[in-house]
Amino acid sequence: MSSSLLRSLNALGVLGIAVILATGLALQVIDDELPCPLCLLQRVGFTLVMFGFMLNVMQGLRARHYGIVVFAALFGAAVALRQISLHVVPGTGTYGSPILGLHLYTWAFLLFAAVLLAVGVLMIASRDHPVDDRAVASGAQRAVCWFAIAVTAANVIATFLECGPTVCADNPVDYILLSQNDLPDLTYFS
Amino acid sequence: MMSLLFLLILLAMVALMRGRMRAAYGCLTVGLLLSLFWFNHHIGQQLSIVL
Repeated sequence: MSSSLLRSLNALGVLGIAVILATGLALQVIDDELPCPLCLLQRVGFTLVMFGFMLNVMQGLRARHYGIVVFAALFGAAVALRQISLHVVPGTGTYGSPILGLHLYTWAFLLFAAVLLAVGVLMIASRDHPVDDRAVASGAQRAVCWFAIAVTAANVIATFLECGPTVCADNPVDYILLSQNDLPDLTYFS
Repeated sequence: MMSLLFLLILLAMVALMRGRMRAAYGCLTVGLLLSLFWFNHHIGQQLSIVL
C-alpha cells in the first residue's frame, strides 16, 4: 500500500474520531446528558488517538506515531472497561441512555478495540515502507486536522462549563459555571 | 481540572500544525500523565464483581 494512501487512511481515522467526539457533544447538548468523569476520560482517550493519527498525517508515517495511538486506545479501553464493570451486574444501574441497545461506554470500548485493529492492519500494510519524510499534507488532510482541533476546543469549553476549575462531580446534574445553586452530586460512587 | 486535559491536547495539536514538535510532545506527555492520574483518582469505588 502506498504511503500517500496510508496517510489518507490516517486522515480518515482523524475524521472518524472527530465525528465520534462531535456526536458525543451533540448528544450532550440535545439530550442534556452530562458526561461523568469516566465518560470524559474516554473522550480524552479518543482525543489522544486522534492526535496520534494527526502525527502521521502531518509529520509522515512513523512507528512511534502508531505507538501513541495504541497507548491512547489502551488507555481509553481501560477507562471504558472500568465503567462497564461498574454496571455489568444486574441491578447496579446504568449511566446515560443507550444508543442502538448499547450504552456509550460500551460503544467506546468497542470503538477503541476497532482502533487497535485498524492500527494493526495499517502497520502490516506499511511493513516495507521506508520512513516517509514528505511532511506535506494535502489541503483536505489539513482541513480534517483543523476540524479535529475545533472539536477538541469545543470539548475544552464544554468540560470547563460542566466542571469548572475543580474536580468534576461523579454524577453531574448541571453545568457548574452556568448554575449558581447546584452543588456537585457525589453519590455516583457511594 | 478535566478541561485541562483537553486543553493540553489542544495545545499539542496546534503545536503540531505549526511544526513545533518539541512543544507538541511536551504537551502530549503532560496530558498523558495527568490522564493516568485522573483515571486513578476516579476509580476509587470497589466493584461488585469478583475477578
